[in-house]
Amino acid sequence: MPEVRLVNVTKRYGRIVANDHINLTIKDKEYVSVIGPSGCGKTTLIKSIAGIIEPDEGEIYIDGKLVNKVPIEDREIGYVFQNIALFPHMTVWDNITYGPKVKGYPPEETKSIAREMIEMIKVSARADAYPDELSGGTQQKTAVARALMSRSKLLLLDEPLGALDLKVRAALRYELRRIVKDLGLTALHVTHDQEEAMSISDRVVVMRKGRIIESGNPLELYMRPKNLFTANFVGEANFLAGKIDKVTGEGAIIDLRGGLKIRSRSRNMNVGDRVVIAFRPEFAFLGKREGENVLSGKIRNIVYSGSLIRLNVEMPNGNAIVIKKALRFGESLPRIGENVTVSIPPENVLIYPYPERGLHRELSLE
Amino acid sequence: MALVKLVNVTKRFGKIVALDGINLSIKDGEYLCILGPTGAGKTTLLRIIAGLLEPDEGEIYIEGKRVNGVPPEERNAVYMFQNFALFPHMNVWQNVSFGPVIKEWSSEKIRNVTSEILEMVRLGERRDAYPNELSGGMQQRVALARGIAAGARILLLDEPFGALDARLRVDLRTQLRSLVKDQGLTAIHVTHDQEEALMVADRIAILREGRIEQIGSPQEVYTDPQSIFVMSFVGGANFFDGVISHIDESGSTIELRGGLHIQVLDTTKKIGERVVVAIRREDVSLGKSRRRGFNNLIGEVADAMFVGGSMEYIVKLENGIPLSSRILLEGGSRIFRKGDIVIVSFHPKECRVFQYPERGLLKEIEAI
Repeated sequence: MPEVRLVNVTKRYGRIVANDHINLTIKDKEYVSVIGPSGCGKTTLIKSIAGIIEPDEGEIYIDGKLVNKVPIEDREIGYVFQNIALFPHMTVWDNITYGPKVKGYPPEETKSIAREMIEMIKVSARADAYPDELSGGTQQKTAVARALMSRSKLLLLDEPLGALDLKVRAALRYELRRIVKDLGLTALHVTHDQEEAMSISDRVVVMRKGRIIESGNPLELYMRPKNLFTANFVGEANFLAGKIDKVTGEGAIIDLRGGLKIRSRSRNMNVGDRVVIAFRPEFAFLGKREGENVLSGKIRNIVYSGSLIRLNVEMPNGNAIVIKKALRFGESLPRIGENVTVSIPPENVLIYPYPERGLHRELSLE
Repeated sequence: MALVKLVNVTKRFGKIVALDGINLSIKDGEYLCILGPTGAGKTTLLRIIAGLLEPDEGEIYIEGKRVNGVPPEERNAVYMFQNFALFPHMNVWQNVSFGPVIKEWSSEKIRNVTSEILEMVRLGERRDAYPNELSGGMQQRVALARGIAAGARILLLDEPFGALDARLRVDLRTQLRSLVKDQGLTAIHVTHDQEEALMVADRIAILREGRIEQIGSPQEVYTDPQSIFVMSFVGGANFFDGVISHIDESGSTIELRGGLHIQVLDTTKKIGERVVVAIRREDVSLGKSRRRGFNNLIGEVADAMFVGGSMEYIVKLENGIPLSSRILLEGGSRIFRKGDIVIVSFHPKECRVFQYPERGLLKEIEAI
């Protein structure tokens, strides 16, 4: 029953605080991903749980036991790295059974577990192959199987798909999740790819500058992010600066540049507050829709990416927004330069306090 | 006139044919992406244009001049690696002005050109920083600025965003395209990321095993793929193995394993012919009722995943075959859960029919 609990975990490197009082509980059988920009401390976090790094302060509990001083080999975890670290001179089978052999586990039991693992990751047919005869995806699946041979119920995945081609990565996500769920494991997965995190996990933790700033299930994190940073980091959005004009029982009315007004269902601000409103590009629609914010604009640019198109629309106040839509069967599209009407549902308009260091800098991911 | 032209370019490494008779023309001001899986020959192609490799056969022309044997520094093309290779002991300003200094321009001209280019890549404020103090995205812009300052009009970009965060990549690729277009540069950009190619390129060349499998605008390549490989690599799709069981004036019927039938508009195949029918994931809708004029199949939702803005479903059809559907979540989209029984619908017009490949279907779709 591996539950992982971090209490006030802090790790410093000189003056840099890599992990700043992290409190996090990963429930038994939960699949949790940690995302955040480079340098946010996500790798330090997973290495602390693994026992590769010892925190300066705070406690780490696995299964209710304090493990701060327990060495990595005694923590009963499976650990998978980004760089596939299979032994090149050993076959898939030998790679998988190596750990148990060294530890002197009974050979019959090892064999039967290994057979089960190989079946699980669907590489039975390649058990006699050497790593360099396998695709990157199959190599990484073998690394996962090897990590699971310890029969540990806690799997730590540090950018496990990072070294693979995107297409292979997308396919392996589902495999990875299936393996974890079928075996009833608890998993912590660190990734720089927010889409990967969203599709694979029960819960996503967002880190920034050594702290956890928000966590939630993928859908709620995407639809109702509590922070401007999260809203920007987990997906594309339109961000516009404004001021709260009115707050009513229905929500708020925000004054944008040039006297343009927009309604939101949120009402978490006071009249006169400087704010940023945010809405995802797929929640802005062409055409007039009853009960929504109806604005006029001019198409400035159209970008196709497969079945999705992005329309750049300039509004009368000079603000530009992006509309993302799926190409529907038999639908015709406006042209560049055409005047259009845009509708935005008030329930999809989110409001955040205007950031102290300015909107542009707050949104920069560098 | 073509700015860069390759005629029958072939390159071998021992027994491996990395490039096999490549013919390619790139226009002045064009943004071309070379897209393909690992090992397709993308980097070899770029290095040959840069002059870092010589082809075994064929000719390369830049601005109408044959450049076989011409060293890289005389080709007016700047090659950007996945790792940016800035001079670590020089600050941003020194890195960018390196080319002009070597060329012994007047100090005033060096100053003007360098500040102008730094403004252009939005690094004016960081001119005194050293490479290790900059983020990956900034380092990359410094490398770009250095190339432009040295007079390059052709940018050769090898996975320029490979080492960066996924979210940051999305921002930077839009900026890179604007920069190329605003400055009237020509870009040849190698990537294995089909979404990146679809978003930045004027034209995409899809490379496979040393050959160009298809070349065209992003829209052409996506809406009119000429092979299973291209359809699978660009956009992805469901591919089903079947046999033509009926043909009439409205189209053909394809019988799949387990007796399922799919109606398509295509009439170019013969009765009894083994084919592959392909349907884009985003052309498959899920619902509770049948749609008129569509193919309607019953299935059970085997997995439902939220993928940043879209739902991705895997539906197990009655014949046991899994089918994926990707639905952009817009207002009012219904979300299905694992175990729900649904009707999957797709229009006959959205189905593409290919000849069954000689090497088998799996080989063409590059399954893991």
